[in-house]
Amino acid sequence: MTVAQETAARPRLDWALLARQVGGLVRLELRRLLLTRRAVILGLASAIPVGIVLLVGSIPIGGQTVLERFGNRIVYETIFETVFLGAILFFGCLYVFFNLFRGEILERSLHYLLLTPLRREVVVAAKYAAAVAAVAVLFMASTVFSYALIYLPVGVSGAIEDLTAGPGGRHLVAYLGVTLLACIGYGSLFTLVGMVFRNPIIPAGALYVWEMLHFLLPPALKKLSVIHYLKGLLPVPLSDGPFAVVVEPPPPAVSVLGLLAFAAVVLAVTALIIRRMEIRYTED
Amino acid sequence: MSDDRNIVIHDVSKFYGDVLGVNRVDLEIEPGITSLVGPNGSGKSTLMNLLAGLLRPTRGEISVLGLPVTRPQDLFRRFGYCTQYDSFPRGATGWQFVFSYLLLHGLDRGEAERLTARALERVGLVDSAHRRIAGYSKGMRQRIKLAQAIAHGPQVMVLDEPLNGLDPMVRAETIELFRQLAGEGQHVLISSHILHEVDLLSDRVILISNGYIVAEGEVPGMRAEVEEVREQPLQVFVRCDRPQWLAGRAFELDHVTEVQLHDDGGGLHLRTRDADRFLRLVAELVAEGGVEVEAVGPADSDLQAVYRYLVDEEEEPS
Repeated sequence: MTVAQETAARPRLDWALLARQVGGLVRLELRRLLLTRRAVILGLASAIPVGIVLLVGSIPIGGQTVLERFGNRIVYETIFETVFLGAILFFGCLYVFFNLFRGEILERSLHYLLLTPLRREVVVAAKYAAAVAAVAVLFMASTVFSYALIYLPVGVSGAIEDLTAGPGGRHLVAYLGVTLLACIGYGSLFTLVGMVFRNPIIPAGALYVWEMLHFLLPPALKKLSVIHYLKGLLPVPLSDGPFAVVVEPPPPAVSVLGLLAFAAVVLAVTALIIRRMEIRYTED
Repeated sequence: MSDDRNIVIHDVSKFYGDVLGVNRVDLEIEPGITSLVGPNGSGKSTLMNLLAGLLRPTRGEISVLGLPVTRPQDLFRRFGYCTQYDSFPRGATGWQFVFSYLLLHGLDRGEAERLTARALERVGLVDSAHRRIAGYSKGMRQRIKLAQAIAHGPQVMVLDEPLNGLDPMVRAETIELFRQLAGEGQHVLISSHILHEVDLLSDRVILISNGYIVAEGEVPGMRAEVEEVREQPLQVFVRCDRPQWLAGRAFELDHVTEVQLHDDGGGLHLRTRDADRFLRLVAELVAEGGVEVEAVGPADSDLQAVYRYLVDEEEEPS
């Protein structure tokens, strides 16, 4: 029997084999992401919200800490929305996902992956999943630690009471969900950007302006921003200011499913691009 | 696409925009050691990248053992490619490099470890396996790429300049490894820009120049062809103001075998066994003011040039 006949006779898809292959690629990618300088930079970035909440929760100004004066939920929401969601998650995802393929193209090592018996679409999915896992673990840990610090004024017993009997637990889950969805949404977007652009500055700058000024956009255009859906899931509503075009946030199910569908479509486009991609490093 | 046991390249062309990579390549490569030989920039790597699916042909079809190169999930279980790129995943040791990519074949850890150890042993890198590749010499990097390409036991191995950077001892061991692999019934396709480097180990040679396959065949026949072409007179053209007079002077030379005047009376073609001597004569005549030359050059340089290049390389002491 020739190789072609033998291949044709095999089952179309061996799920166990595919799972082992994807597992191998995910482990390879996780090691690349978590055991290199990239992880140190991401770790430092994810520590910023923790540091900020620690500062506003421990340094008294005029006899009271900021957390005590303005209320811990409002202060945390403000820090989460402006610092974490508005900068760290965006740029953290840009750093990791833009380099998911572009980094290997610049390193001239992408061909090793493309010479393995994996469909290129599977390579995209596995690398993306590994990156989401790595980034989400770091940023969700940051969310948990920073959220825990808002209980500095009330101590451990107050924290346990709020988390179990009060709204604290529900809020924490919402923040964790938003963090995960941000990694999924921005991650897919920057994976695609990394495939299309050699330099991230212009596309990332344009996307950042779009996302940050989304509150000024008319309702139809707001729907084209990731942050519009993420903000709709935040537990404490904050005002976007006097110039904001106010619209009703989308229902949580729409936000969650919409972001997942968006990520799936963007990844499908990325897979199409990599399927047709040629390895010609001299052009990169 | 005929044969499921061979590598079949049917009417394949590849253009990079307006630049020719390879053109109208038709080849059927059987098991054994086949060398793809040509000067730098002749299209060897383009052809190999097309075989591996890293490039897409502008036209034509390629199949490897009957498998289309557009199906990596089937192809790369049987295909190993050692590319020209001297680059590696950052921070990897030799062991990690070979082992990690074996896991992507779906092997369990034990089997991947066994094959990694075997591949490293075959290329003689067992002692350096746990050192970072960044600290390897050029020859060691070449060998670790080779180990990665052969670790999964492919039936087809495509090796782009695999002997580059190897010292004589390792080169001999590597050539022996190629012989072993070919002896096991596998395809070993090796590229080189030095005919002498590969002709002794190859079952057949494919000569490529400027993107065209200029000759192919078994080594004894190819060597005879190279010598034959080398001894053939070279055709030279001269555009000048006194072609008839120049033709007369040329016929005084014993190495000029044929002269033909151009119809427009503005030049001539001639055949010579020693083009250098003829060109020296032309230069002397111009210096003496005997003739004004507008242009002079070889008229059939392509095949001659590639053979001359290859033969000259062969004659250089290694």
